Amino acid sequence: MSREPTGPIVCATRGGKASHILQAKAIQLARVEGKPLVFVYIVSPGNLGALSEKSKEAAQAELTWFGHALLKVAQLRAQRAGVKADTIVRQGNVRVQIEEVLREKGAGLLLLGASRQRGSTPTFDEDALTQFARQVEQDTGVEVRIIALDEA
Amino acid sequence: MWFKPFFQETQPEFIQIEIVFLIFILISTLVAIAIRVRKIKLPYTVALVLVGLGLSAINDIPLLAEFRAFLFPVTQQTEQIQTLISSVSIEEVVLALFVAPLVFEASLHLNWNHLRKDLLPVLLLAVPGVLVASFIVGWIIARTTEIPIELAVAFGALISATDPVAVIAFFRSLGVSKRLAILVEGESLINDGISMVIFLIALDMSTGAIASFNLWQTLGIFLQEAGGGILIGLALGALAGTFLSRLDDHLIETTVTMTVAFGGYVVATQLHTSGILAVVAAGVYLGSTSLHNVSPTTRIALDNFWEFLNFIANSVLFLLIGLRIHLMDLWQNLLPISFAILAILVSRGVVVYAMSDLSTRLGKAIPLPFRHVMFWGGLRGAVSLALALSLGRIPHASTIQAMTFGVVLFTLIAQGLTIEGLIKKLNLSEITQQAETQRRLANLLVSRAEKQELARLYHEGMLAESIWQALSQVSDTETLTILERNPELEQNILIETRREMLRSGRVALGEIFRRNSISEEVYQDELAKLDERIQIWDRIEDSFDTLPYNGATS
Repeated sequence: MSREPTGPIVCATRGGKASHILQAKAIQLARVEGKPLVFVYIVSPGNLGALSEKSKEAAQAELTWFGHALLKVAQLRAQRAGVKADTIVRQGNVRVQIEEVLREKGAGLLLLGASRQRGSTPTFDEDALTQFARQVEQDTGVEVRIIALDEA
Repeated sequence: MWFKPFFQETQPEFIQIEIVFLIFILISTLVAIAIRVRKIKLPYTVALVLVGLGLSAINDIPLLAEFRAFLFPVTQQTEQIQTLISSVSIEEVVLALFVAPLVFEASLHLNWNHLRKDLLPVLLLAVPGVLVASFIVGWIIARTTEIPIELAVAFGALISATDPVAVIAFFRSLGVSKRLAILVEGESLINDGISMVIFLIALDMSTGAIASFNLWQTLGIFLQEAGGGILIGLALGALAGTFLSRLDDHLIETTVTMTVAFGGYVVATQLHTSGILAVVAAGVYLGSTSLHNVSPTTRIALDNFWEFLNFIANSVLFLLIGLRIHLMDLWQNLLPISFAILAILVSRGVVVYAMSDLSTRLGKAIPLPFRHVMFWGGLRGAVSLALALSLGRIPHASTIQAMTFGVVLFTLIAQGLTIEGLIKKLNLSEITQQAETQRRLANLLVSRAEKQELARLYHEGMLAESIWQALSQVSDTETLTILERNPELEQNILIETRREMLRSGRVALGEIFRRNSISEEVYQDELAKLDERIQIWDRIEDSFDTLPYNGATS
């Protein structure tokens, strides 16, 4: 059951090809509801599989750069739309870090993106994303909305 | 004639083999060129088989043989070539020399992270799937021919090994989903080894080497062959990985991988385990671990070497297949071949759709369009032929070989030539969208390069400031317009920009070193770190296919 978000809207983006769709929807929602926006990127080299120590360091550095660049682009996009947006880049476990951000900012709503690939139904790991969202809601009491990012 | 000396009987056999090999390479190159310039619209491997078949037919078909003397000179030598080929133990050559490196190369490039996500359906298709298919085919063949059931099951096993070379080539050119490619390639790599194991067990039963069917004994043999092969492969992969981590010489590292590919097969078969599964396990292990930690120079050298070896092995193999097939044998065994084709279609259908259903029930859904492609894309090739040829002169061997040739030919031609149409009809081809995105990206990068060139011309005094600023604004507008219309290119731009930044950092580091501002030790250390950062972008790009939150709840 959805309820009116009371704090800022937090948008967790990872920079996939359809991330601009998620960011656009977050900006639109923030403008309509008159809420500030926070873009979050979590640096998580764990997604890259097994890495040597040297590669882990390189991955950490490059993903951090990417996160800052991506969120800066998102922030500029929001500014052009007349929405104030903050950016946060964190490192560590994705769920733990997102929950910390939600608590720190007193967020009212978290937006996540679910990409649907052409030619395959259902989406990969859709259940995992839903499970993730429910866990965050349970832990923080913040509403989590999954935005379908159907690619054109 | 001028070429006669090349094929004199007094020539050393080695030279004759070398000449034959060179002729194969020449024919393969001509076919590849013809396809590249789009003169022939056929998959490369199918074209090679047809060319080989054509050359073989010149000797086999009496009508054509009459005109042999008047045809292109090399056709007079095809009989010589065929005699030479027949004298070599083709099945051993095919498996050890060609199939092992092909399988290794495919395993090396199989993304373990992607395979792991679909390990359940892949294993269902490759293990119980092959078992079920072997028995379905065996039952049909035993009922429709005089071949006894044990030997029929052996045939069922050997014909269940799929060969995705032609299909994967289509996947790449049509931009098909990575997941479908993983399912097809993953299944094929594992079912090659499993079908060999079942084939050997069934053959032993048919020849009396195993007196009677005993479930536990059979299971034991299966586990020894399959499990043993995998363990040996993993051990070799780990050993090779240790060497690779301590080396930084692209020539030595390439040699290590070559040793694993060829040596792994030999070691495993000597220890009475599955050579193919050993090579697959070693390749997947190395590809998922060590390969990501080698230097960019080594990575490029490895990719080039294995791509080249793959091309040569495929070319010679599929030409060999065509040359080995005799059309008269096929004609004389038309009825058993027809039943064999029916049997493999039925068994493939049952296995693909039933195992996909089972996988769905167990939580890993396989969409219906994928199943259709997996069913019709189950081509047969080298492994099936090699196993059939290994039967030697046992009773019914020639019938089984004819059936195998017939099925392989049918799948390569009938299925191989229609799979592209099926993929397009099922809307699984993303090439239109991909090509469009790539075109836009190319326009963007060209636009940026043009702007850089403008800046260079201005700074070198070849452009007035007013002209430079005006043209730059035009270029900026073009760039912004492309980006605004195609925001999905943002990710590509960020990644390409970062790569260029790191590469220019490499150049700057080199200049500082050449000016003696830093020592060699510092230069090498910093260079290695930069290379690491450049290389990690391949993994990062790959990871964008992975949803970020799956499994991240811990």
